[in-house]
Amino acid sequence: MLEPEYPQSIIVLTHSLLHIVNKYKTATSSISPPPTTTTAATTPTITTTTTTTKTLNDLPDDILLGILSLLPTKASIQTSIISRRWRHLWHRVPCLLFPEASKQFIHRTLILRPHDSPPVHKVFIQYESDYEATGEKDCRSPQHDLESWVNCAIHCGVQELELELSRGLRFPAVLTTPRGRVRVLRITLSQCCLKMPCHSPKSLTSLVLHKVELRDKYLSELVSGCVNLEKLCLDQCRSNEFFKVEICSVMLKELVFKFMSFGYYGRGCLVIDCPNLYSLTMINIDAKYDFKDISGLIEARVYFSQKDWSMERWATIMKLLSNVKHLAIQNWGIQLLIPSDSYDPAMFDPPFFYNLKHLEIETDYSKFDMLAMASLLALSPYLETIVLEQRKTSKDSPEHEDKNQMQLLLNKPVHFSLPSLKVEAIFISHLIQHGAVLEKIILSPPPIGEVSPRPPVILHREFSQQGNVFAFVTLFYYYFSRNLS
Amino acid sequence: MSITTENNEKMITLMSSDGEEFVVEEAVAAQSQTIKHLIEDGCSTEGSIPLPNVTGRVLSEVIQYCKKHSSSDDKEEKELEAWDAEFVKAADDHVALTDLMMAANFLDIKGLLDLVAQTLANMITGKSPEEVRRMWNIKNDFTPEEAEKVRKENQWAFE
Repeated sequence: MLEPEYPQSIIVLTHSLLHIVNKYKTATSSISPPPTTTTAATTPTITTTTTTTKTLNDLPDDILLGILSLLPTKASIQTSIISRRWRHLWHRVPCLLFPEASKQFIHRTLILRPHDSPPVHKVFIQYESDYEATGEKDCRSPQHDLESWVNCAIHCGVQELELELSRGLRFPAVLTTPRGRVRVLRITLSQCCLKMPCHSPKSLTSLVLHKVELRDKYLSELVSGCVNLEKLCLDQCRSNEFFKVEICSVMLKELVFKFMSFGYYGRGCLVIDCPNLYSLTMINIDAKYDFKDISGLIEARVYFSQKDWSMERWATIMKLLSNVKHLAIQNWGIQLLIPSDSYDPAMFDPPFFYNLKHLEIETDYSKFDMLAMASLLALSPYLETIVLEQRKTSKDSPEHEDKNQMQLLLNKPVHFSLPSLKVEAIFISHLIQHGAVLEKIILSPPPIGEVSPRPPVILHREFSQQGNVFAFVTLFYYYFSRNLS
Repeated sequence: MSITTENNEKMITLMSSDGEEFVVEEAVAAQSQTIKHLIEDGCSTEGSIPLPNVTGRVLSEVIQYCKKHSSSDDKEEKELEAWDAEFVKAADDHVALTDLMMAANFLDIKGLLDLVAQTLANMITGKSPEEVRRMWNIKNDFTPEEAEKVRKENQWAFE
């Protein structure tokens, strides 16, 4: 075997893996498992020759309780008449789940559950809106019901509370008292609003608000008041009154914003000042950003609809993310990194991504994307893994108008060619430079129309021969051109 | 340019309760926390790891699952989900599922445990107690009086 002639420093890197995967392959797994002594089939088959006599009753209590925790509480109580073994089992189920349950059922279960039962970990309540329609003679207000259920749940020791409400209510007051020991709270609203509390529930470590209508003042106060909050997720929360939302917390580690608009047409301002933030996810958020301190950020996932997104905003984001280890981003973000005269270079001086190890790019394989990837490889010397995802072209995400910049290589019969030989040489030279760390590339073509794709090709680098790096780069090109012609 | 699977992975031998031996890559076997700990404690250096609670038939299913889940990239979730669905569908025999559940529990493979638990929960949902008894061959050991008492005890759930 010939010794590779790489400099010492590069040999060290040969253990890392650059793994290029196309996410949307539909063929079966390309990675064939090594043979074993058995003749196990590669497709799942389970023989039905039953020689054992195990039944559900032979499973230990712990496992049965695990299964019952997945059932709505009504169904799990109904198992009590299966046999003696099952009679009291439901008392010990650590989850109380009330999907589409009647008000009476929730009341009775919470009250009639034996008091000596072990603590409940999770309670899920879906509050139906049409109680009046059922003609129940109950003068208690919906708010009263909610408060008493949450109170009972806390009494049962609940740690994780999930509420799905469909009528206007106040935030359960008991949660903000010292008795409220709930750590994880998830609230989903549909077509109603929730009046937020004056005091923040201090016990919370995780708060998820889904479709909740918020005012900036409440949100900012809620976050700064939840002194133990580590995870905050706002999904499709809305308000026209958001002008300036401040998320300031030293405890916060994970922050997720999805599908939200701050202020009229995103003119509101989102301030994030969380020095210990570890993970940030922003999906289709319209706002002006002011990141005061996110110096601890390790993981970032950033997707935006291109509409209203200027290069200037991307430039701000890319600079902020230059320290992360794990980055998932759209092609638009990385296109900024191409040395180009389509925007003012003085405005954006591409940073180096010295910490970047794992990169996921949503791409449409346009020539600009390929160039951007090449530029990114040059800027991130320690990158180990790239995952390429086919950019989703759903109805929700507006098509990009600039056809010159965004040729949808895979969705349209466009001939793939790099702009010039010079550029091609740059891309290949970047790949070759990284060839020292490339170990494996998986190429899998997307399906073209009804035709099922060809099986993916796996290219392994052979460590002993330097020439192979060139070989697979050539093959990469050959493969691409073959699939596109 | 050769297309090869370089394979210098350490192999582990697992022995089922009925004496069948399976040779698998360490990474595949280590999907089981139980086996992983045994390997860490140095139990695998000589001979095979005996698994007295798992028959060869069940073990081969478990290994199929572990292989699939150790070879697939994290990003291939959709494909994995489809594969999982096929996997438990193939095990539609109720007895096979309970065996698989016991094995997943003993071997401590969280993914498989969750998958089979959810499958069993789906099978119980919407079934009357009689149907559940019939499916799993469970003897109704209540006297009629007792059965009536249990039903009264939990009356609100049967309304």
